[in-house]
Parts: sequence; C-alpha cells; structure tokens
Amino acid sequence: MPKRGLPAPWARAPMMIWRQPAVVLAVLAAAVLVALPAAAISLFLSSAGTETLQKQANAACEWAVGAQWQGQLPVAPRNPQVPEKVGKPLLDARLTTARQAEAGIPDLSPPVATLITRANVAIATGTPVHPEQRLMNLVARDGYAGHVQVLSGGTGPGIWLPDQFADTQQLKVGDQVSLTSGSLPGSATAGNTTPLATMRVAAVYRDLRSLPDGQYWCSLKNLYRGSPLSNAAVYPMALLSSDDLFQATDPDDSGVGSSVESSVDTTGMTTASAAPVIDGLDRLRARSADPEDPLGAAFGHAEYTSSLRGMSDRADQVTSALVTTVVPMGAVGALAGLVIAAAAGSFWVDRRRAELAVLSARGVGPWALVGKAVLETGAVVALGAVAGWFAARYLVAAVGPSPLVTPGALTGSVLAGGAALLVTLGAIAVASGRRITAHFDTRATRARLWPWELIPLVAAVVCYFVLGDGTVAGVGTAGSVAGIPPRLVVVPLLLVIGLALFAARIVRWSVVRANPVKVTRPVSFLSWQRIASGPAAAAVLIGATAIPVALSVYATTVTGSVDRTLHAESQLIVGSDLVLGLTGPAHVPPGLAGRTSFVDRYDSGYVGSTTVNVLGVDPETFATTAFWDDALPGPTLAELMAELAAPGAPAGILAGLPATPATAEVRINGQATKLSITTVAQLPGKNSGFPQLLVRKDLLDRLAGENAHPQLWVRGDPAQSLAALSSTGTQIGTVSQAQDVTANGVYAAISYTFVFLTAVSVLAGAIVVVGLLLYLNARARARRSAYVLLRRMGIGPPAHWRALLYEVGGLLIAGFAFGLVFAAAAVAVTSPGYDLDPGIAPGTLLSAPWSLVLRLAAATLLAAVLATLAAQRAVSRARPAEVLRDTE
Amino acid sequence: MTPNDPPALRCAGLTHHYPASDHDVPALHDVALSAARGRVTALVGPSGSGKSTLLRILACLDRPTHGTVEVDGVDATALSARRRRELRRHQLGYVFQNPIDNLLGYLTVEEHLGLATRLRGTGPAGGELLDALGLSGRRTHYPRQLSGGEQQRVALAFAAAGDPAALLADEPTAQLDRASAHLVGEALHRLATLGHAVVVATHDPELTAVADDVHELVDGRIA
Repeated sequence: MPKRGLPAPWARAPMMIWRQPAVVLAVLAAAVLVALPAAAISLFLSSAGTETLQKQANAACEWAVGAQWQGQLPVAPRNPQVPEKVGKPLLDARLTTARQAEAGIPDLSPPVATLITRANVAIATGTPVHPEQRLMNLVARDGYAGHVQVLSGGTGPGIWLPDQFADTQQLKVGDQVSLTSGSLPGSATAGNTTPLATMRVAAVYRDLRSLPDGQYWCSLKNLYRGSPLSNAAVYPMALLSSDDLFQATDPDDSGVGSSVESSVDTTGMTTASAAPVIDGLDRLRARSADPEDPLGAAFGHAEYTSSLRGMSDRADQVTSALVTTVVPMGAVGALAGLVIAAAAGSFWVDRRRAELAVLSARGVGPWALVGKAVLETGAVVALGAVAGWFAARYLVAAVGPSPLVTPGALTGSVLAGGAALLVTLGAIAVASGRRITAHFDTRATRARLWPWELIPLVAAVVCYFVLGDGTVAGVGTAGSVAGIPPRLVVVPLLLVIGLALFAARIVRWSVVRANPVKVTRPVSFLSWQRIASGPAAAAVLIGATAIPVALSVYATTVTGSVDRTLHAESQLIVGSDLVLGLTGPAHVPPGLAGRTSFVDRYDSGYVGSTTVNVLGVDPETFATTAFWDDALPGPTLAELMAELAAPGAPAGILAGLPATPATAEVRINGQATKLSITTVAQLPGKNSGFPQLLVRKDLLDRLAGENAHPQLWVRGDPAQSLAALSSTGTQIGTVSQAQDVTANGVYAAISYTFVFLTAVSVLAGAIVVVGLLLYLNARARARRSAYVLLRRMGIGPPAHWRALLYEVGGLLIAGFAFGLVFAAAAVAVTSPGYDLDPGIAPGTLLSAPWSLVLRLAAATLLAAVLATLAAQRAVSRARPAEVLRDTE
Repeated sequence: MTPNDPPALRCAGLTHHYPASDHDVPALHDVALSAARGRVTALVGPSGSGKSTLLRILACLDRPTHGTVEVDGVDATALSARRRRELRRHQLGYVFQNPIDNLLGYLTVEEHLGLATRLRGTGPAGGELLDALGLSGRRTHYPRQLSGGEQQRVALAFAAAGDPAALLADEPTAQLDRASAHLVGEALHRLATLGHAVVVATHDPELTAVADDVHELVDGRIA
C-alpha cells in the first residue's frame, strides 16, 4: 500500500530551514524589505492626508472649521405691525435652535454667540482727552471674561476697555462712560450725539493686539487687528454683556453684527473620523438654507459657513497628488526587496544544492523543488511580512507626516502586507526555480549575455518624454495643490537602477579582463584575486551599494533644492521672515537687535504714469533684515542699499518695470521728485502685481507723511519675534509671515513625497547591509578554507583582515562613487523641474547635500570595517582539521 | 532481457559545447557508445577529457549540442523536459563523486530507499538491495553515521532502488580509500548482475577491473 502524504523532503521542509541561520536571515530580511514599503504606501498616504487636515485645522480659526452663522441681528421689528423676534429674544432663539440642530454631531462644541456694534465711548462727565479717538467696536461674546488678561477691575457689571484705549482716554475702573452712536459718516444715525447708554468701566484688560492671538478670539482677529490686505481703520475693542450691548445700540440701526459659532475639536481627527462631522455640518448647511426648517427660520439671512469640508477635500487632493509619486516609490522599494528575495531564493538553492541535485537527478521536477523552497521558506516569509507590517506602522508613526491613520488605511496595509508575503514567496519560487533549472536539464543559453539592463534606461528615456512636468496636482472644489511631477520621481528611479545594472555589467566585464600581474603586494594580490574569483558577486555588491547612495543623495538634493527655492520665493513675496503692520509705537527688544528694520509702505506712487508700490527703507538695517539669496541675478541687496545710501541725488531701486530711464520723475502723495533709478529683476516684499520702488525712508516720510503705513521687518523665528515684541507693548496690526505662504497645504504633497523618498532610501540602505551579509556569508566557506592555507603561507590575521578590508571596502567605495555619479546624472536631467512655480523668482536654487555625502561616506567605511572585522573573527575560529574535511 | 532488446543506454554523434562570452568551449565531439543491461561500462580518460559531461548527458541531466541519446530505445534528446524528468525518475540512477552529495542528511538509509521507490512509484523493495550491498545493519543510520565507502554504497542502493534501466556513477571512488573503493567496485558489479546497465566514469583501476567494457575519452572523443 503506497504511503500517503508528502514524501519526507517536502513533509519535513518547514522545519529544515531553521538549521540554516544565514538563509533564515536572508529570507526574513527579504520579506521585511518587501512588506515594509508595500504596507507603508496606504499608511503613508493616510498619514499625509490626516496631517494635511490637521495642519489646515491648526492654522485655521477653530470656529471657522466648525459651524458659523454670521449676519445681522435686527434690534427692532422691520414692520411694527408684524410681530417678530428681534434683539435678545431672537439671539436666544438662535442659540437654542443651533444647540438642538447640532446635537449628535461629534466633536462639535456648544454654540457661542457674539454681537458686534460700534459706538463712541467717552467719559460721561468731563471732556474726552482725545475726542477724535473715541470710536470703538463693542463686542459681546459668551465667556469673554475668561479669555482676556485683566489688568484692573473685573467684577461687577459694566464695560471692559483695552488698556491702550483706557490709557489714551485716561479712563480707569469705576469711571462712568457714555456710549453714543458709532455709525460711520453718511449713515442715517451719523452725528447723533445723544448718549445711548451710560455705564461703569468694570475692567481694563490687556489689548489683544499686544498679545499673541488665541483661539477663542480668532474669529474676531480681523476686527481687532485689521486685515493684512486692507487699509481700513482698526478700532479698539470694548467688551460687555449682550444686554449692555443691546442697550448701547441705536434702535434706529438696522441691527447689530451677530455670529453664532461652534468649534470642532480636531485633536486626533483623521480624514475618516472627520467624515461624520462633515456630514453633520453639511446637514446644518442644508437646513440653514431652508426657510421652512426651524434652523433656517431662526437664522434668516445669516450666512452659514464651515471650512472643514474644504480642508478634508484638500487633504484628499494632497493624498491624490501623492499617489502618483508615492506608489511608484513604494513599488520600487518593494521591487528592491524582491531583488533581495530573489537573491535569498538563489542563496537557498546554493545551500541546498546537494540535496536538489540528488532529487533532480532522480527526476524530481523544478515545480516540486520550487514547492520545497516555498514550504521551507513560507513560515519565515510570513514572519518577515508581519515584521515588515509592524515596521511600516512604526516608521509611519515615527517619521511620517502624522501618526494618525484611518482604519481603511490599516486594512489596506494589512492586505498589502499579505500581498507582499505572496509576492515574496513568488520571487523566491521564481528565483529558486530559475536557479534549479539553470543547474539541471537546460540548454546552454546566451540570454545572460544580452544587455537587458538597457531596459530601465530606455524606460527612463520614454518616461522623461511621456510623463508630465506639471506641478499642479489637482484642481477641485478645494482649489489646487502642488505636487512633485512624476517625471522627477520615476525617471531618476529608472535611470539610477539602469545605470547601476549597467555599471555592474561593466565591472564584471572589466574584472574578468583585468590583468592583475602588476599587483605584487601579497595583501593587495589576495584581495584582488578574491574579487576576480567572484566577478558577479563583486558587481552585484557595487550595484547594490550604488543604488541607495544615488537615491538618497538625489532625494536629499531635490528636497533641499525645492525647499530652498520655495523658501526663497515665499521670502521674496513677504520680504523677510516676519513683516508687521504697526498701529502705534514699536519697541524693539535687545534680543532682536540687528535683525529688525523699520520700513514705510506707500501703495499709490507713480513712476511716470505707472502705479508703483513704494517702500521707504533704512539702507543700514534693510540689507541685513530683508531676504536675499546670492543666487538672485544682478547686484546683491547690500550693493543696492549702498547705492541708496550714497550721497548725492536721491536714488530709487525699481523692480518690475524694466524700461525705466536712469532718471525718472516719481510722484508720491501728490508730490513729484526726480530719482536716479536702478532697475533690478526682483526685490524683497514685492507681493502685488505692481512694480516696486525702494527709496530711503526719510525721503518717503517727507513725501508721504502719515499716509505711509509703518511696518517692522524682522528676521528670525516669527513666533519668538512676535512674543518678544508683544512683551514690549509694541502695537501690532497686520502680521505677515513667510512660512504662511506654504502653510495652506498647497505644498504638503511635495514635502511628504520627499519624506517618503528619503524613507525608501533608508530602506535601500538596509538592502545594502543585507546584500553585504549575503556576500560575506556566501563566500565564508571558501574564505575559511583559504585562510587555513594562507596561515601556513605566512599571512597573519592583520594582513588577512587588511586583504578583506581592501576587498569589501574597495567594492563598497566603488559603489559609493558610482552612486554619487548616478545621483549627479539624475539631478542634471531633472533639475529644471525643481522650481514648482516658475512664474515666481528666483527660479531653481540647487542645494548640494554635502553633509549627507560625508555621512554616507562615513557609513560606508564603517560598514566595511565592521563587516570585515566580523568576517575575520569568523575565519579566525576555523580549525584546520575541520576545515580541510569540511563538506557542508 | 533478450539479444534483440535495445541497449539500456545508447548515444550517437554526441557533440557538446559550453558557451562563453567570446567563443564556445568544446567538451565532446562525435561520441558514440552503448551500455547494455547486466554489464559495467567504464569511461576512462584524463581530467577535462569530457567524462563527466558525457555522463551528465547520458543521465539526461544536460542536453547535448548535437547528437542523440537513447534510454531503453527512447530518444531522450527529442523529449520535452518533463518527459526527460520522467525518464530520469523511472529509468536512470545517478551517483555523484562526493559520497555525502548523494544523500539527504536528514533521512536514514531505510528512508532513502523508501523515498527512491516512492519517487519511482514502485513497491517498498530495497531490503534485498541493502543485503546485496552489505548494508543490512545500517538501515536506521543517518549518512553522518556512515563511513565514506558506506555512504557511497548507500548512494548506489538509493540510485538502484525501484529497478531503473541504467545506473551512472561519476568517479564514485575518487574520495575513498582502497578498501572502500574495492567494496564499491563489487557493489557496482553486483548491481550489474541484478540487471542494470552500469556506466561509470573513473580513474580507479579497482573499477576498470570490474568493467566489462572500457572506453577511453581523449579531448572529448572516444579514442
């Protein structure tokens, strides 16, 4: 009766691999290296999407992210004959309705009501100190008392005044102030000086303009700071209860400004967990637009807004933009892992060669032998796939854009890990199958002689012309986002891989044909002979080293160059790291000395008949404060400032109006003057479509007087600078930061792309280490035998180690050098694409990663030293009697 | 077995080249021979003369560049890879030079024979074979527990189990001492008497002494 079940070589296969630690290591590493990038793709995309959402939410006002109803709240019936809720009852009704409508929407705060009107506030008895500066915004906002810094008072009913206003008007807690109509000139109630209300000054609080902005007040930021894009006057903000505000409102006014708003707690929010919140906010939008719905009826014509959906859409756009680059990179990473898997398969065949030869000689076919390979390696591959998934999860959490990922991404990554397991087993099967059939029952072939590595090089050329170079990755309801052109990722990957394969062939060909006769020193001769005895292994090690070096150097070059270019563009737009519009005196603290410059801005000057924006600058401080990059064309900013400072005829530096004569008439504030003009391509702070003229500050002050807007330009960390200036009581209006130019998620896809590419490069580095271990392990047996004989020929341990170092170090250094050359080639081919917005100066600014190159060189040498020390230690343990009988 | 039966192995016009990057390396040129059941055929010749190449081609492990190989009257060179494997499985046994390379370290002697008969789809024979080769006391031993000569005789039993038409051995005594080589020679002779065609590549006089036919290969040609 025939036996049932698998024959012993297959039935016992799953346990046999554990007797071969080197094979286990190779297979395990291969499975990890395939599963990691495969699983990381969906996790990384989700992480990037979540981080984009989080960044937008953090940069935005939390009330704007949630639900906001803004509009007029009538204080008197439009038609006295028709009863309708107005004033306080209407506000209460709106709050109640909003609270009911928002019930069930996750992460939404209870609604907060704000009322805004304007009034003249002056001391009730006596003469105001500055009667022309009495106009204030009156604001009633739920819970305001807990969100200001009280300087005096704070108890009892009454009005809360900002310290700057109180100081100017010499008001203090306990004073009685009268509130008169604050309607703007031309309105129906303008000029009405009858007090609407008289109330006690209950508190004096620190003016919000002299403090960093807090989230509670963010929806009113433009009210107390003014808009950066507007020249409208900004009035101090008085705080009071809604009852007091209604009392201080002219009944003839159409109403008061009103908002009811709920913030969203976005802490830990992912694109997936945002979905039910967005759905709820959309329901609110629909109900608000329906006059039959209680919510729509309560809010009438108030406008409903919520920015969370737009943020989510933008996050989706960034994710979509990343797909075209991250997926190819992840695929290449997994492909590189598959190369190791194939090597592990071949390695398995080598280690099982005798057994496979026996079985093959007895008619066992390649499929059965491949089945044995799969049975032996399956458990290790599964282990590696699991480890790879956990590594991907950990890496994305640790160095990815955000540790938060969606459940869908987790599922996707698990599926990708499972697919990686199967593909790894497939690669091992194919490689072992090819190796097996190469040894047994084949016709000799010349196929290996074909230059098949030209395929990726040809593919690189094709992709260069086929793939687009557009940087706008998506245009939709959430606007557009910039993305890395696929050409910048795919072409270099193919180019580097093709060049590495080609270099490996050249190295192999050269080593076979090289004449080592001239190598006479024993150590050099030994190392050369070892390289020459395994030209294929040497070529593979060189290629495997060159690829990660090239990819990491390329990725860092592109990242640095894109960053440098974007930084230069955003700095040129704003002018410096921080540009503050001033509403009063500025006091520069000592910590900012040498990093600030006072600038006046006047936006309606003329050069001839052309409107220009005029900046009045201090030549001594402007050159060291304003942004400049020496890669910009023309004279440096310091040279231009020297021209402005030079004695003689007043000078002007003009950008954006090239055909201007050397001397031109300039009109500012109705006054004309002749300036000697120097025209340049670009100036810092040129953020409008108009040409920009730089003149000396004293000249602009003389011509424009108070019509020029004072600014303070600050170089350095904006947050620290703002805090330092706030502590000195500097009255800050508008705030412009260079970093805000790229803070809206437009460039998020680009940043994230290179985070991923760098991770892939690190992964490729791990592949080199595994390749090196395989190289050393595969030759360990021959090396051990040789060492025993070499000892008898007088080659001592130090000399043998040096020979090992020359052999391994020489190959690694050659690979390193090839990698640098390949990276330079990739940069040369793609560098014009590093400027993601070619319409903005200064164009591509290359950034060479010297620091990385030095670190890679050190890592290469260290790897060579450590690997050879380990190999020397292993051969030193060899016992001649065992080595000479070594049959396994 | 009758006189009209075809020889277990026959080749004619065998030529074989190994390809290299710039020129082909000739290994065999127009070789013809046959090996009948019940006879020991020895291939002798200096190193590099093509003995191992010829043996691998006869064992259907490699394909010749030109020429034919017949196994039990079947032209193996015209067969698909699958059919050639079937031929190897059922009609051919092969013994490598290194004793340990012929055996699976994790199987006992008895399990080796069981595996061989299972692969060939024959009954659980093999006990007699071990008796015939003087290995009956080694049934439960693993290869590492055997001497080189014993390993090589187990390898012969492993190759012969399941009654293949021909046994091919590539310098089976090259790594054995004289006494062990003598025992292997006797084993080969015994296997031939059991009805196998035995072809052996060798330098060893112990083996040529038991050979019924001796062919000398020089530079890839039968001298």
